[in-house]
Amino acid sequence: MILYLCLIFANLVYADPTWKWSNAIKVVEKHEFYKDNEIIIKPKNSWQTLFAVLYHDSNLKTLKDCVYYLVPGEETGKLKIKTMVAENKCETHLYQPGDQEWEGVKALQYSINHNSLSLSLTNAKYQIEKWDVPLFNVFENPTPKGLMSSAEYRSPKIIYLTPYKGELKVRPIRGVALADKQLCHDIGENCQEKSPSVCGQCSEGWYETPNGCSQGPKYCGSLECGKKNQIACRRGMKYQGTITENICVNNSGFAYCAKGFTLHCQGDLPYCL
Amino acid sequence: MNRDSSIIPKIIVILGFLTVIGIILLFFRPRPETRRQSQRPITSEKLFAQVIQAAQPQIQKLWEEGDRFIGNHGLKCDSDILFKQNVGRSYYQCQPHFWQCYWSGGVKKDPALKIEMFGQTFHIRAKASFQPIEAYSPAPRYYEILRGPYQGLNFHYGALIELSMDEVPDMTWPVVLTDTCRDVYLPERIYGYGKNDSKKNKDFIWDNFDRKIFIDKFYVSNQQANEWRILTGLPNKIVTDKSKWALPSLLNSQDQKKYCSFWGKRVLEAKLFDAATMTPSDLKNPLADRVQRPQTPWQRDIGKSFLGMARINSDYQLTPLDCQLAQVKGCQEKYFSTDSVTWMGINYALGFYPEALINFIEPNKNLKLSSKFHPPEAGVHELGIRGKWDGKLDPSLPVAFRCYEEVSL
Repeated sequence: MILYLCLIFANLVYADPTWKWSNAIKVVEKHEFYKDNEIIIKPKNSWQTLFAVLYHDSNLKTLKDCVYYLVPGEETGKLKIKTMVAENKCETHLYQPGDQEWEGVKALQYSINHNSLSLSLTNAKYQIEKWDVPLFNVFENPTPKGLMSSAEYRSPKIIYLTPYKGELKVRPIRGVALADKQLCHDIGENCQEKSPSVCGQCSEGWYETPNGCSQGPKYCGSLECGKKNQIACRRGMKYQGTITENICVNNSGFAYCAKGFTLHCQGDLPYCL
Repeated sequence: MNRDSSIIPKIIVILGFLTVIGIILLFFRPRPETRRQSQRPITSEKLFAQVIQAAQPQIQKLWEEGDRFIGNHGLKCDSDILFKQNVGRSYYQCQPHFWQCYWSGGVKKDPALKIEMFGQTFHIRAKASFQPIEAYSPAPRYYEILRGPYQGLNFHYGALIELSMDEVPDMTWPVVLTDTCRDVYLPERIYGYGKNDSKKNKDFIWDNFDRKIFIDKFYVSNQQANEWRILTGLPNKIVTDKSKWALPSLLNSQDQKKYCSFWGKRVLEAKLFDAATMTPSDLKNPLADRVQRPQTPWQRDIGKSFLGMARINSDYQLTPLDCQLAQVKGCQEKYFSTDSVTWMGINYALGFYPEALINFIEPNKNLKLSSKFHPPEAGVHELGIRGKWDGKLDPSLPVAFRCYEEVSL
C-alpha cells in the first residue's frame, strides 16, 4: 500500500513539471499566432513550439524549458518539454525527443500573462489536467520615481532560484564579466541604438562618451573625463532650452571640460585640451 | 357600496405591484462575496512553492525592515551585530548581520515565519547552510554575499539565502535578496552646480534627462567596507570592533574608488551632491527657467536657520532640533540618522563628516567641508562650499564617502 502511494506520488510529481517554472525570469519564443486560452487545432499533425521558459538553476546558470506540441490530426496530440541551455533555440530541437512527454493529448490550451502561466490539457480519457504557475521573477523595469532604489529599478526585490531536494549544496557560479574598455552600449551615428545595453555585465561599472544624443556609446570601466586630452564630460541637452542639432561643432553645450581646459571637437567627439 | 367594491381591486393591484418590486429588489440585494477557497496542492513541491510565495511579504519585511523586529530589549547576538541607541534604525535594514542575528535566535526564541494556509500553520525558516566567515565567527552563516554580474540577473549586490519549510523538510529554495535600502533615485531635471554666480555665463547648469542615477543614502560604513575586504580576499584589513561597524569607513581616495567600482558604482560627484541637496524651487517643473541655489537643504536663506543665527550670535546654544538638522561641533554623534533627509532622500547634506567628492568641473574642490569638527557659526556649513583633499588618510581629518550608480538597461 505504501509502495503504491509512493508510486502515485512519484507519478504526480512527474505529471506536473511546472513547479520549477515559478522562478522563471522570462517566457520567450511565444508562438506567433496562438491566442490565450484558444484550443489549438491547427496546423494538424505538425509540431509547434508553444513557448519557452527561462529560469535559473541553483548555480544561477540560465536554463530554458522549451514546450512543444504535436497538434492532433490523424492521431492524438503529444506534449513534450525539453530542457536546454538558454542560448539554444527551441526550433532547432523541435523534432528531438523531449525530456518529458505526454501522449494521447486530445486538446490543449494555454495562456501567458505578466505574472502567471496556465496550461490545460485533456488526456485520452478526457480528463483535464491544469497547470497554473505563478511567475515570481518575471519583471519589467519600472519607470523610476522618487525614493526608488536601483535594486527595485533593475530587478525583482527577491529573486527565486530553482528549489531542490535533499542536500544538494550547490552554489552560484559568477557570470563572465565584460572586459574593461569593451563597448557595452552601441549607439551609432544619428543616435540610433545598434544593440541594447549590456553595461550591467561590466564588473566595475561603465562610462559614457557624450556625443550629443540622449544616450552616448558606453564602455566598461572608468574614465576621468574633462581633464587634458580626455573625453569631455556629459552635461545634458535639455538644460540649454533650445533644440539644436547637437553635432559637436555646431553646439558643444552637451559636454564640458574641467576648469582650465577648453572643449574641442574631433568629429562628433568632444574632448578637452 | 359601489365605492367600496372599486377600492379592493385597486388595493390588490398595488399590493401585487409592491410584491413584484420587492422580489426584484431582493434579487439584486448585495450579498456577501463568496471567497473561492484555493485547493491544497497535491504535490509537496507545489505546496512548498505556494507557501513560500505566500511568505514573500514577511521575508521581504524581515530583510528590508529588520529594525521593526527589534524590541525594547534590543538584540542578543553580540557576536554579529550590536544594538546601540546612537545608531539609527536604517542600519538594520537590508543588513546581513541582522539577518544572521534573527535566524540565530537573537531577536526571538523561535524565529520561524508562520504562514496560515489551507487550514494549517506552515513554518518557514532560513537555513544556516553557508560557510562561516572566520573573521567574524566560526558559526555557519544564514546568507552569502553575492557580487554580480550573473547571467540573466541584473544585480551588483545580493544576499543568497536558503529557505526551508518544517512541513516539507526535504526541500530547499535558494533565493537572492537584493539591496533595496541602499540608494535612492535622483529625479531627471535641470540642476545647478555650486553657489549662484552673479555673472550668468559662469553659472554651471546641467541636466540628467535620460539618465538613471541612484545615490547612496548614507556614507559607506565600516561594516560595508568589511564585506568588500572579505570578498576581495583581504580579511586581515577588516574593522573587527563591532561597535565601530556603523561608523563611516575612512579610506584613502584610491580605496574609495576601488570600493565603489567593485560594486559597479562611482564615488559621488560634486554636482550630483549639489543636485541631491539643493531643494528645487519648483518640484513639479523639471525644466524650470531658473535654478536656485539654496544655502541649506531645509531653508533657502541660511540667515533664517540656526546656522545663520549662530553666525550673528556668539552665545548661541545648540538645541536637539538643531543637531537633528546638521551634526555640527557640540552635537552628539548619531549614525545612520534620517533626521535630516534631503528633498530626494539622501542624508548628511551638512555636518557630520567631511565627505569626499569627485569633481570634474573644479577638480580641486573635492571635499564637502561642513562637518562635526566645525562649530555652528563656521562659514563652511553651507551648500556649495567645498575644499581640497589630497586623498590621503589623516587621523586629524577623517573623510567619509558614498557611492552613486548610473544604471544602463
